[in-house]
Amino acid sequence: MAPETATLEGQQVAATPAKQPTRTDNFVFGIPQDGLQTKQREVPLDEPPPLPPNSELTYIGKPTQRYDGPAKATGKGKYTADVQLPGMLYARMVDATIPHGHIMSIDTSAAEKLPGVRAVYVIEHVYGVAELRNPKLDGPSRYPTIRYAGQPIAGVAATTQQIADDAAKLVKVRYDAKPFVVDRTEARATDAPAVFPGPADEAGSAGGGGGPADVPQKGNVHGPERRKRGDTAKGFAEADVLVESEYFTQVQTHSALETHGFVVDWKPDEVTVYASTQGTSSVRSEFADVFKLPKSKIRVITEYMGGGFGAKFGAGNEGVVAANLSRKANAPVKLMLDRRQEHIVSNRPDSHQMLKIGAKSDGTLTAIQLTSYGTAGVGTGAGTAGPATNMYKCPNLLTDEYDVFTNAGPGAAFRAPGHPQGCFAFEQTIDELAVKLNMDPLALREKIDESPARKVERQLILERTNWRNRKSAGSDPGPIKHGMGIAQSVWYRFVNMDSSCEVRVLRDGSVELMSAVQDLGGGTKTILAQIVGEEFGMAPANVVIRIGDTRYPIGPDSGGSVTAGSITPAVRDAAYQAKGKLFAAVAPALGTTADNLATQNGRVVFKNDPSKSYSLRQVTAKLPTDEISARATRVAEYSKDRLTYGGVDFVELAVDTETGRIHVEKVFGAHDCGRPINPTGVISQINGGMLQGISYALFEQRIMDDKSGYMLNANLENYKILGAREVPEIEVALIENYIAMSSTDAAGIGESAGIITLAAAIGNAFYNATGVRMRRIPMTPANVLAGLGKVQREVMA
Amino acid sequence: MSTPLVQIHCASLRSKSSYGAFGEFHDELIDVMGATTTYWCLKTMGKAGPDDHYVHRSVCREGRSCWQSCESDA
Repeated sequence: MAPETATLEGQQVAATPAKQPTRTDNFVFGIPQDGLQTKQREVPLDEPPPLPPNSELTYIGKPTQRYDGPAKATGKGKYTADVQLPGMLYARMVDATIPHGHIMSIDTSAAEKLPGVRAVYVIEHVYGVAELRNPKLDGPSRYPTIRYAGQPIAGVAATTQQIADDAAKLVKVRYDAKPFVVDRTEARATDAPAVFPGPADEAGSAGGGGGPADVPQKGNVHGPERRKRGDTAKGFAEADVLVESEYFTQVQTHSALETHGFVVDWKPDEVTVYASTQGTSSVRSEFADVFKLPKSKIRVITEYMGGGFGAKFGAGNEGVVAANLSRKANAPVKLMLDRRQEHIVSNRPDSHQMLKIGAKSDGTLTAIQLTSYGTAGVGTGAGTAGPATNMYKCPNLLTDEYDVFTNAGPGAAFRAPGHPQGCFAFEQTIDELAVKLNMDPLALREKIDESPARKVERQLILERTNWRNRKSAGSDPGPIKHGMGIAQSVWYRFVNMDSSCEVRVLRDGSVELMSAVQDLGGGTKTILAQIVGEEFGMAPANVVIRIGDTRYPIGPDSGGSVTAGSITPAVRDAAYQAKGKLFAAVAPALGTTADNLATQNGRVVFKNDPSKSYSLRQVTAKLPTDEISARATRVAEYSKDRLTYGGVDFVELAVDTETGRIHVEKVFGAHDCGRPINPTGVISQINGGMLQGISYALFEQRIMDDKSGYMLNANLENYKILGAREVPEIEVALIENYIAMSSTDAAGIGESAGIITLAAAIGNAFYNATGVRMRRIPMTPANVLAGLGKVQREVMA
Repeated sequence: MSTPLVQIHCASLRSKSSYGAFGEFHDELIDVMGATTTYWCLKTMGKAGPDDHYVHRSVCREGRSCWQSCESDA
């Protein structure tokens, strides 16, 4: 018998629980512009009643300024980097100065002698029962093999940051350097230095799910990971039109305002970890696993967080090193990466993509084929096939994704992993198809896209932008050429059931919410307050939100746009249940029954006599105990329907064909993400995604020196990020898309918020302006002039 | 009736998707993220395992010398 469940990546998947008693509810469903409908769902008996559309609610769906904005702006909000503890030490990570080789020795004596230094910790190779893959090439060593310049080696803790920095420079590391390769194309050569020297992999013995077991490896090339649907050869044979294209994207490094870092206070009874993390739960789990501690002895706190974009999960080397230093020094230790290290530890992989699309003369897609190579440095994860696979209906698909190992810093999840790269190539190729078919790019997408939300979004582009006045490609006279372009995005709905909270109601009328969920900066605190406020009929600003602490009920880690869709239903459920307990407790004192009480316009009213109403405080004053509380955990989705989200973004730009400068003048985006809880917050995230997308398209690029193996621009002076002068006029239209999947219908917007589309939309607008297709980002002046054939390209990848 | 469990991946293999209970959609999440997933080894906190080979769901399977069962304390 085939197993019904399996463990994945060390995690056990629970068997499906017994079916709970349910009731049937009618939910608002669909998109207002299409006319709202009703959808019946079976829901657990103790679920709150369905919410009406946002237009009928008091706080949910209403533009709301973030409640923690003033604390952030005034410095009152304390980020991990701001944490100060009595007796706290400051640490600096020591990292490798060569891109490949073995460590022969590490001499920490000079660092240890420096006055003020309290502890030094060296990372050693953990072997256990492992046998080296190729002992002749990678012999046993006390220290891990160095595979990229910047790889963590050790940590030093001292009484001041300056002393720690000085001491780190005194750690002497003797290397046996080996040949290295930092360029993706060179790394693919059969005679390239091997990043991992072991023999090619054989198929795993387990099989049966959990991803591919037979991904080949040859030299530095790992892949392909293949995805196949239908028969592409047949699809191409049936096509009236074929388009073949080739695109290149660069490595983009993570540049969150707050670098990776931890403050660890190791005490015998409890380890307290202040973490700049996207997952308090993931940090607690990894500290427990690494240090063999029960989770109950680890407390993780993330009160404010300065951005993560996918790269901040788990303990990381810096967390483990900080903990060891704290344990050794018997004092709290703060270890924040410096900006150079931050540029090196994580990035969005680059790509070289080759696409072939076949279509009928009416635009109907018959086949899509994508081959992509990308480097995530010493890691994997350079795939790009998401948009080609999931955006449009096409019966025949073949994607081959290859990782190419190089001696460079590792890739990490980065806001919509693989999708900005994939979209840059795929959505431009769709435009190339439109040109070949002599179709309007919007009209072609209307033909091939089944998403109801994006249909409405395309209509908004037509109605609210200058699209109808779009001129033919390259038709502007003179050197400054104007153009318009669009691109579409797709992202996926997943929810994390590790989403719990507690709502407390106190006799003085105050209401508190507690959950370990963290707010990365997306405004989670505010949406949680809006939901509790809606349930109690109280202003959200008066709800006390306590999150980002594992002493509270477990919260979802924030990655893949899961946070709002995961935690908000639990919050509404807890608030609803707490309200029910409150009404049951006070009804006798009010001379009625609990089911005769309701909240309305900020007051508790008698349903059978609306003239009788009380303030919440008057009602809670009648509680027989000082507080009541309710705890709730995310219930399963109401339906097994699989959903995606997305958006359509429009760009208007000017290209100076003499200097190669691109000036993005206007961006209009139409986006959907279920029921928007706080439109201000959602639009703010979209604004940020668009700016990050423009920055990716025009400026950001890791530059590696192939002579030394170093990243040459590991600082924010030479690693150019979009600045205030490059910010265009931005307008966002938010689509309400009621999906009847949970008690709030909320969803995240982080991934599909412009970062996926902007490079492709700019590329399409560039073509419209100049008649030339930009196949490479960043579209720096040098690359633009090369693309226009005005200068020779210096760097090929 | 107890449900038979089969461990596919090493207990020390980690990715962003390792954290959280995605229930019946876990396999789909792994599939959708597919070739964009970055992994690390909990033993080394890096991209190489204890055997100095790279970390990936296709290779962190039973038979690799550093393989760790979910039930072991190693």
